[in-house]
Amino acid sequence: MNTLLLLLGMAAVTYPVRAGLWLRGGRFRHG
Amino acid sequence: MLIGAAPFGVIYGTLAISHGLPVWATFLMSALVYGGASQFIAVTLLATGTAAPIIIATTFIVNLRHALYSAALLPAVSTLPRSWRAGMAWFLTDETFAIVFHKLDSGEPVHLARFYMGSALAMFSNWLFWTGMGIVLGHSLPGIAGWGLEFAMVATFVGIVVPLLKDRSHVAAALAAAVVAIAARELPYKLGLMVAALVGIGVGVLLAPKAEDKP
Repeated sequence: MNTLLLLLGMAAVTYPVRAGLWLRGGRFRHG
Repeated sequence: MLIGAAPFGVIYGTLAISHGLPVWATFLMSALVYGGASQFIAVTLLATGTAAPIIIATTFIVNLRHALYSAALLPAVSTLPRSWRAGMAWFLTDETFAIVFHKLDSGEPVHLARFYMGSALAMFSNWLFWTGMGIVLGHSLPGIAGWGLEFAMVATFVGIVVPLLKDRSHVAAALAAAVVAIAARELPYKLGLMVAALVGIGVGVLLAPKAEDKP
């Protein structure tokens, strides 16, 4: 159970850093 | 890149099993986290009895670079439906970023969603396959934990980092992180690793060439 929670915790902090792809287009575009 | 990932998948699976991680957890980590560097570090930290919150925080820091990848790809994918992008985000790794960014950079016409998901799913199934091979190897060679495979991980990270050290700020960041990591190795819960990462980031930011300095 603890191991599963650890894995879910690791996944929970990993997905959001990749989820920038979700943002509305062009938010990071410059100029 | 499919071939390049093979030794890492095998070593990860082997190390995880030899350090006592159950088969299901070894496999599930590859599927849920799907980030080689963070998986290696998590297994190493687990083996030294590090607390789960520290492992999760370390995973976050190690995988933070993916935020830069998603920002870099965003202009190219922003016309795709969000449901597609949600799936694409799951599979965003160093390799997928490198392949897709290179393709976009080449200027060749490409059906981006298909190209991205094709290469991403190939990498994902490849990673799971080699993790499985590592699990089998770990089981068939029970004494493999004593073979010093951890050093392969260290060598891998050195091999990843050194070519990236392209200017003084990069070298200073790496050196600062290395010195702090060694100096702070006695801190509880392996906190020295996080402190070193933060110091390295701080030094890199302070010394990085300013945008207006560039031609």
